[in-house]
Amino acid sequence: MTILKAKNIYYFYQDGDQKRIILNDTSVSFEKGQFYTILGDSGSGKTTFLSLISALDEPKSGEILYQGTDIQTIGYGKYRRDDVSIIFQNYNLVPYLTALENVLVAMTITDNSLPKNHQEVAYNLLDYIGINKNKADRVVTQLSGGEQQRVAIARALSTNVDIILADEPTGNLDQEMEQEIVNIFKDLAVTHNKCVIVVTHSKEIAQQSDKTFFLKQGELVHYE
Amino acid sequence: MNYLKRAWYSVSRRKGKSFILFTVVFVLGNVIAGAIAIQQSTGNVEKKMKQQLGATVSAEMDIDKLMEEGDGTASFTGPAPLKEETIKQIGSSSYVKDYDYSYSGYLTVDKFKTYQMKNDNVSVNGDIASLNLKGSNRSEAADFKNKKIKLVEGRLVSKDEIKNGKAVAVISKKVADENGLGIGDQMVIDTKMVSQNADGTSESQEALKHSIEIVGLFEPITLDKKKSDEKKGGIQQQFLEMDQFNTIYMSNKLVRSINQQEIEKGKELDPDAYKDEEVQQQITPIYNLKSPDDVEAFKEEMTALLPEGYKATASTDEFDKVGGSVQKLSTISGYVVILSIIASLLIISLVVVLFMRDRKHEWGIYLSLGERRKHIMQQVVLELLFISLVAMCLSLITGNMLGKLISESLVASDALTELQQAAGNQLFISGSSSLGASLSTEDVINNYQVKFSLSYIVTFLISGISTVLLSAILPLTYVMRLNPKKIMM
Repeated sequence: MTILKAKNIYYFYQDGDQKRIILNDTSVSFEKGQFYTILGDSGSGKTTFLSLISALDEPKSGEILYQGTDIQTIGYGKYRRDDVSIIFQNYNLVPYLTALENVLVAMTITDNSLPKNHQEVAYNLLDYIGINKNKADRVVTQLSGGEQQRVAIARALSTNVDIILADEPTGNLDQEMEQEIVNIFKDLAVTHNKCVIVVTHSKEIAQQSDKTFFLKQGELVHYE
Repeated sequence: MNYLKRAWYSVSRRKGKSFILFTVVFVLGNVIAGAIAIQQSTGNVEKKMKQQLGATVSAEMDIDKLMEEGDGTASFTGPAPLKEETIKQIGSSSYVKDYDYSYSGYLTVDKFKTYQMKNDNVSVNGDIASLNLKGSNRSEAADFKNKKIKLVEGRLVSKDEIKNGKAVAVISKKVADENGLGIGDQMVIDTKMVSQNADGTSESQEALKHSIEIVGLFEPITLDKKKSDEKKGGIQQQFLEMDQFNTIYMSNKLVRSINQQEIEKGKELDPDAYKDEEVQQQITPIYNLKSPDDVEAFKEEMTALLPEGYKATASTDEFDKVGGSVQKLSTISGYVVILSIIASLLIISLVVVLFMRDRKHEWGIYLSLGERRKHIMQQVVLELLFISLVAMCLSLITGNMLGKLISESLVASDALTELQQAAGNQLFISGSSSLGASLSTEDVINNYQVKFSLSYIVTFLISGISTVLLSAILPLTYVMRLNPKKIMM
């Protein structure tokens, strides 16, 4: 079942007098329960594509449909709040809050209906991701890079959204940690029926995904 | 973990930044609080002193103006006396509670002993002794009512005696003692006519004998209060004192009758000197107003009705003469309040904007999670308020102390002494007012107190919080312009 669809997306950067086209009439669909990867050379526009489908930016033309509705109609803020979660390469956690509090922030912001006992849910999520209670109560700056990325994943899961987006989520992690994170993504797609879209330059990760797209010269092509 | 909790955690966990902002608000808060404390205290002292002085307005000859017109010499032709119709017209003003008018007279006495000032170095009018007559239409003359003098023996002139113009009067205890007189005695005031010769010498002739029964004795109140000034040997004070002791209070009718007799006798003894002299009766009206707040408005209304050469004088004018230093302090502190609020707006805005830029990643995280911008703004304002409220509560106390210290050092400074002297000189020139109000800079300074009042707290907190909230506007526009993609990717 298609949950997210990019339709005729056109995007460019203005570089002085020149237009640098990043996405040229690109269309692609994503389904629930699938783990997608998007590959591409540096500067090909992978991150730009992710920013468009995460509503951090808007296309010059074309539309992004969530469950058939344009996300502009839904409202970019509401879409980010209730329908999509983003995991960044550099974790992006609030530095003066604990791991638990970082998860609770997202749970407070979303309008999605969540179990009332937010704290217990957050502890369980962190535990599922591999952060025990002791670490959950630490300020995030006291955690390792891998642990911080796990907290970011727990935060993404906590709002109970259908789509999880990740931008180079393992870029700062060692190989062992990378595999652990990939396993979590696979589990999210299979066990929790999420649509997981990961932008990466790692072919190893791509090989483990259900479907891979390659972004080249403004076109997203299916990669075998 | 809503924005309220986030704001609290941000303030309590980012201690260094919170401390810097706290220090900035605390220092600026002290300046604002100090200036507000001084301004309120100056306002209070003015209000308090003016309440004490009462809401009484009189019409008097504008001596300064007349002297100016007479090339700085005292030899001027005085204006025509005020007419009773004018006095009544002014008295019909809505500001007036009640009014009285007083005929006044001046008698040069021969054997009757008057009170003389104690300063041996100063001779008053050569050997001429004189008495002032003050009439009234009321039993309780204005000087009694305004607590300039108090009755110490006997009684006041009764209503019937005023109506009939009976020869009864209230005199000062000092003058009564000088002449060995008491209540019920008939005092005989023997007047004389003094004429100046061409060679500068003077001649005097016996004129009239006015027999008046003493019904009461008075003592000054305001002069008692100024013993410290007397010790300092202030000539001005002694003149005022002499003037007061040598005043006799009686009915208007009696004053008019004595004045008339004196002029007629003058014409008889020295026809040349009195040939152009009309029987002119000087009248001084005294208006009691409903409220001291009405004084300025009434003065304006009254000035328009007064003939040339007269001015409206209020009991509260005394404060304006001697309270210049306090009023100056009030003006300066007013400027300080405005300047420090503007400086606070700029400084706090800049500090908060700098801190905001430091935290732009955090704002980006919230925006990428879908947080509403208004909640981010509320978090910024709440953080600012948490810190500012603590800083302001502390500066409320220290600022008050600062205001007290500054005021005390200013009051003790030479600058104020100079002002005090200037005010004293002015009072000396003007002489004693018919309103009887007498005030020194010392009184004003003694009444000046920097207090920790409710109005001080409310004024400071309102202006402080408003300043802090206004200074959040610039940082909030920064939040409005945040682009999560640029921050996060």
